[in-house]
Amino acid sequence: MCYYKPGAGVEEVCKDKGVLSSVLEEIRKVARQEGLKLLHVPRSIYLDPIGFTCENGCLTATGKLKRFNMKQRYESQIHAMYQKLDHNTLSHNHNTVNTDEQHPRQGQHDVTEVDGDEVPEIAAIKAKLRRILREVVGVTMGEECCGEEGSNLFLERGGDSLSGVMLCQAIEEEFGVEIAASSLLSQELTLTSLALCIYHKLDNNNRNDESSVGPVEYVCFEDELHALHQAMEECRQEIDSSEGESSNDIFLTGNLSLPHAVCFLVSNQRIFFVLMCVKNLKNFTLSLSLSLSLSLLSLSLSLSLSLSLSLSLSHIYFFIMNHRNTHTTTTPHFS
Amino acid sequence: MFLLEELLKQLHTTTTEGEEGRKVYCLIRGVESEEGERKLTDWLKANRCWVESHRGKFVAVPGDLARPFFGLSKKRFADLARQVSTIYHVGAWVNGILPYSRLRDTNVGGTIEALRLAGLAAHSRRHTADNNNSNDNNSNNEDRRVVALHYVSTAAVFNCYPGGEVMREDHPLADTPAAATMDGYSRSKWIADRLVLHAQQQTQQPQQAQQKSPFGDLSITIFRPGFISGHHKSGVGNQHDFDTRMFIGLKQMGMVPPTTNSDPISPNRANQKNSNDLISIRSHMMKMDMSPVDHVAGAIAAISNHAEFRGRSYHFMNPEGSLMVEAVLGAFVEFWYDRGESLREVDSYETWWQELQRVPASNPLYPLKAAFGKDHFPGREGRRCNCSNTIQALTRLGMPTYVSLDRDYIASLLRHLSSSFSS
Repeated sequence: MCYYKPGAGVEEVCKDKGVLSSVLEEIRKVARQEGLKLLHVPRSIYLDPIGFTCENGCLTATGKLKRFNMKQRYESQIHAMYQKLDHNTLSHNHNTVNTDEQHPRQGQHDVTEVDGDEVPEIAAIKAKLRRILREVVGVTMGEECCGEEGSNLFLERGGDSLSGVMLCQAIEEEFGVEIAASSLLSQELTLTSLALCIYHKLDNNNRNDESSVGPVEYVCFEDELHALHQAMEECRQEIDSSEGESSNDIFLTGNLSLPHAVCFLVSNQRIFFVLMCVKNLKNFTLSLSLSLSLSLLSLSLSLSLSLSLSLSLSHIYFFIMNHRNTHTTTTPHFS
Repeated sequence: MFLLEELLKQLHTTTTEGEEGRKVYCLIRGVESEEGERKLTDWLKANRCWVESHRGKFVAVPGDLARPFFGLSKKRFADLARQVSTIYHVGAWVNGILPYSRLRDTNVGGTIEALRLAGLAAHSRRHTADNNNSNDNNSNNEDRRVVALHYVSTAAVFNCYPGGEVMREDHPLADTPAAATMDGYSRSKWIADRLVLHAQQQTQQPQQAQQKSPFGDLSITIFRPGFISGHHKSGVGNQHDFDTRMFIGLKQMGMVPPTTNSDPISPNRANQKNSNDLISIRSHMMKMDMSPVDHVAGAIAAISNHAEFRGRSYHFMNPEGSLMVEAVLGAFVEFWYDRGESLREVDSYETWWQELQRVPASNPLYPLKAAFGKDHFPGREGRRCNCSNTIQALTRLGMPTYVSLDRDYIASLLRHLSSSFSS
């Protein structure tokens, strides 16, 4: 198959749907031959006419990939690909889609769906998952709904760490496969990805294959280091332009619902008041039991009294952290 | 109540002794500045911590660790940087189940922001000092003041290095393929700790390179506590940590694994068991490392206040003072026995473990099931981390290097739990 049009520029060729799908087909063919897991087989591709170079910031001088830059550079393309995939998946309601026989130019299947013969099984897994979600953790999902890419289907619908663990347990009972609770809570969980994950685990069990398949999270120190350096660059510009008196205050971060933070503040002689913030200020009283703050404070105040004279600071900053996603864990009770 | 009044009196005394003008800025997430201030005041009043002279001392500013510039405007952030010279970054989202991707923004991003604030503060300091030097000579004090960042990490960063290697305080935390086995929280703290270490190395370069580095002459100290338990006198602790859940869960089960009344296990008792049981005994002979929060907090405060101790890392473990797992469980049974409630002590760990598998989701142990191995109760040895920097510093400060814990300590933890939850 050759979709190359004589006279077309590289950029045009890269955008040509025919070229894209034949390249994708080639990749998928090799993937099948090599027996790659379905999860590892690309479902959509983007061809870049320029490629990775030092100049566009994708490579280091020694030719290594700069993942952070690349992620930024291709963010919109990646997003578009996912959206398209999602659209296709939803609009066809997971009917068997066998793209091998279809001409890539027909219909909207210029990006292929999952291999046809596996889809019915996955659909069955999904049906079971819907039931589990509804019965075990009280998360209801419509027949059509699979959760959107980039958002967690489970957390979006009121799931939390605890129900995540319950869901794992239920999945293990239903399918006999172990799924880490953390993978249920990752940002990208959709019903499809969960079903695929279970499908592959089952597949591995059948083959007595011990290797674990599951969403492996991307953790990269170099990216974060890069982010740090970028942040520091920004910081220098800021401070040069700012003017004013400087003083010798303390800045403090901490979710003070952690008792060590509370205690830590308290025992720091220069700080004489402790606050904490959980979901909102109304919860203050709940979280910081009176005895907690006071017994600690009284201990340190005797210290602070003696040391207050040596204080050189005029301001004390408390940074009270609180996040959107803080779980209001139900307070355990002695029965 | 008595304590509260005593406290308020002390608080009042401290603030009236010539400390006027001191302000407390409270950055609170998700509220408007004015509303936040009002809420803060309300809260202070509700907790009877409000003194009229405090008006204006507490200023609420919205902020969020997970956002760039803590969610503040760049100008506000720069202003803050000019005013602070000491930064304690304690904030982190502790969750043993959530994946890295969800914890990254708060734990890694928050640390990047803290480093940014510190770097900014270090530069602004020099900036001001330069200006002053050109104007008058009395400002030499300005030169000597160094911006200090105190970062509270966790011993969990070592979870990615398997094997029996002892973790020194100057461990480089190099990349390791085994990182895949860590939970999201340890990973996020591991990455964050490495970023802080990187900055620390930059600041310890020779003078010339230092000037160029974005971190300037920051002094960075890293604290890595192990398991932090309740206050050693009051027993006040984290209501959501592993031990609290374990205690409450055990009470709900009404059943405990084999315990012992003597510590450590007497050899006789070990001999009576057959070889199968020895496995459970051996695992039970593990210690349950606990560092009381007041000990750790006091040590961090003391160390951070002395310039000569800065720029290093400190581990906080309490292997000498901690109890064996069995002794902890024994104290737990005893505590309830004294209150007229007897818990069933089963004869083998395995029996208990099978019961554990059947606990309902309402039991706090439910989400922790996986932590309990088939043949061992999860102990914390605490010997894996070498604490020599901490011990050295505390010795020089004349502070105790460890806290010796006993059954009474466990009882006080439990007393606090029952008093704050049962009513």
